[in-house]
Amino acid sequence: MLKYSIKRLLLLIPVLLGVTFIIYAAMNLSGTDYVDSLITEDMTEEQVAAMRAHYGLDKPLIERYVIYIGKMFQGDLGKSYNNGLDVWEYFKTRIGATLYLGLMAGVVTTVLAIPLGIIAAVKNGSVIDNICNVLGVIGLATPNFWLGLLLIVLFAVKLKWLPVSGNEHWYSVILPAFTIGTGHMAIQMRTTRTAMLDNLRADYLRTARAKGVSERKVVTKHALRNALIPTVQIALALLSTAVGGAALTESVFNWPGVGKVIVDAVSKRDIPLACGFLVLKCSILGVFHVFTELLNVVIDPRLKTMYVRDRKKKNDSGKKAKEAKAA
Amino acid sequence: MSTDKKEKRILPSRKYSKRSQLGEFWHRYSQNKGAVIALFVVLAIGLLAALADVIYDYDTQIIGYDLTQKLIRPCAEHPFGTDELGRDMLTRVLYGAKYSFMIGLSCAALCFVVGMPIGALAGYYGGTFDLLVMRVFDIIGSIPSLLIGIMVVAALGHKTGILIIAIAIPGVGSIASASRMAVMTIRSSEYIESARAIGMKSFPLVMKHVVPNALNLIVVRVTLQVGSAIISASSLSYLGLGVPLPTPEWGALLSGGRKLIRTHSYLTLFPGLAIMITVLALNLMGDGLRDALDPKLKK
Repeated sequence: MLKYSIKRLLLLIPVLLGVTFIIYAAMNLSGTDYVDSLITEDMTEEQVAAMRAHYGLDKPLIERYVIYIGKMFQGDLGKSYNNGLDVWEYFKTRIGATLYLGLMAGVVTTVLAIPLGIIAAVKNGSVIDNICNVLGVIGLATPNFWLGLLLIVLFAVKLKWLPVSGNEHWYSVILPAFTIGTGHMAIQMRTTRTAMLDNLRADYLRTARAKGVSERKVVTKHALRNALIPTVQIALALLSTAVGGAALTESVFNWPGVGKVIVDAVSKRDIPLACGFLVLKCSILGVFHVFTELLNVVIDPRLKTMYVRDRKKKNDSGKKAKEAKAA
Repeated sequence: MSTDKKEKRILPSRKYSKRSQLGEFWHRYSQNKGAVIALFVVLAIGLLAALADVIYDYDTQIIGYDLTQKLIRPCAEHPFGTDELGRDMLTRVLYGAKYSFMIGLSCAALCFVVGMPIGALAGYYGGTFDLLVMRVFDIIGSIPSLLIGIMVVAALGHKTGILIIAIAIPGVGSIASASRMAVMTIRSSEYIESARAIGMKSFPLVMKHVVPNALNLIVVRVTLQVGSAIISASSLSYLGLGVPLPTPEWGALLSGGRKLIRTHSYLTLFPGLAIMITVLALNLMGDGLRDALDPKLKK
C-alpha cells in the first residue's frame, strides 16, 4: 500500500510536466505575450526589446520552458509579471480562502445530501423520494454560476441578509458555499440513494429482519454502514472538485481564492503566475487523491487486495473508480 | 376449424415479432413519459435554433438598440423585459438558442468523432497504446475543464469555432473512456472470439462488430455531453471568453445581467432558465435513451 502511494505520488511529476508544457505552448501559440499589453505608443523598438529581455521573453519557447522547469525543481516558481510578487508567497496568501470555501461546500453537500438520500431510499417511491428525484435531475441541469447569481439576487439584493461578494465577514462564505454545495448535492444524493437501495435489498438484511432485528436497526446499523462506502468515496471526490474547480464560483462572488487568480493570469498571459498556481493546485489535488485512496481502504478493507495483487488488476480497478467519478 | 384456432393463437405473437427495430425502440422509449416530453422540448429548441435567422432579423431585432426602451421590467409587451440598450430579452433569449444549442451539438459531435475511435482502439488493443492514450487523458483530466477552456481561448483567439474545440477537449477524454470501457466488456465475448477465429483482421473487427454493440452506451454519453457542453460554453461566455459580444449567447446574456444585478435582477433570470430547461430536457432524453437501448431492461 505504501509502495503504491509513493508510486502514485511519483506519477504526479509527468502530469505536472505535461500541465506546464501545455500552458507554455498555449501561451506561445497566441502570438501575443505579456509585453504586448504594456506597449504604449511612444515606446521605441529598443525599449520594447529591452522589456522582453527583462522578462526573459526574448528566448525561444523550449529554452524558456527548460529554464522554468529547472527552477521549479529547485523550489523557485518565479515572480508574477503583473504584480512582481513571488508566486509561492502569493499562493500562500490565496490558498486559505479556496480551501476554506471548498471545505464549507463539502459540509453543505454532506449535511443536506446524505440524510435526503437515506430517506429517499428507505421511503422508496414515496413523495419524499419523488421530490428528491426531481431535485436531483434539476440540480444536474442548473449551471452552478447561475445558481450563485440567483442566490445573490434573493439573499443579498432582495432580502439583504448576506453580502453580495468578497470575504470580509464570517457569513460571507455562506452564499458561495451553498452555490457549490447544492450543485454537488444532486450527485451525492443519487449515490447515497442507490447505495442504500442496493443494501436494503441485500440477502444479509433479509436474514437480519428474519431473526427479528427492528427495522430501525436494520437501516441505521446494517444498511447504512455498508452504504457509506460509496457515499464517502463520492463525498471525497466531490470535495476535491470543490477545492480544485471553484474558479467560476470564486469569480461570481469575487472570492479572494486561487481560481480567480488563475483565470485572470491566463487572460493577461502572466505565464509564471498561471503556471505556478496550476502546478501547486494540481499537486495539492494529487496528494489529496492519494489520501482519498488510502482512506477508502480504511473504510472498505476489501479494497486492500486491489492494491497488493497483480498489476493488471490494480490498473483496471483504478480506472473503474475514475470512470465512476467521471460519470 | 382447428387450423383457424391455430392461426388465431399465432397471430398476436407474430404481430409482436414483426415490430421493426426502430418500432421496438420507440415502444420502449415511449414508456417513459418524461423522456417523451423531453424529446419534444429538445426538438422544439432545435427547430428554434435552426430557424432563428428566418424568424428574427439579426441586425434590427437582435443587436439593434433603442435607448428609449431601455431597462423596462417584464410587462405584457416585453415578457422578459429589456436590457440596458433597450433590446427585448425574450427575442434575445430565443435567438440565443441558435448559439448555445449549436455549440452543444457540435461539441458533442466532435467528442464523438475524435473520442470514440481512440477509446475503442485503446480498449481493444490494450497494452502500451492503451496506457499511453489513457495517460494523456489523465493529464488533461487533471486540469479543471474550465481552465483548459480559458487556456485554449486565450491562446487561439476569440471565435466560436475555437470555443467549440476548447469545450470539446475535456469531453473527448470522457467519451473515449466510456467507449474504452464498453469495448473492453465486449472484447471478451464469444462472438468476437469466433470472428477472430475465422480470420477477421483487427481493425475491421473493431469497427464492424465491436463498435456497433458498444454504441448504445456511447450514444447516451454523447447526449449527456450536449448538455454539459452548453453549460461549459455559457460558463466561458460568462467570463467574457466565449462567443464575442454582442451575440446573444445565454452565458453572455447572464454576464451582461451580472453588472445590473443589484437593480435589474430579472436580466439574470431568463437566460439561466433557458439553459436549465435545455440541459434538463437533454438529460431526461439521455436517461430515456439509456433505458430504451439497454437490452437488459427488455421485457
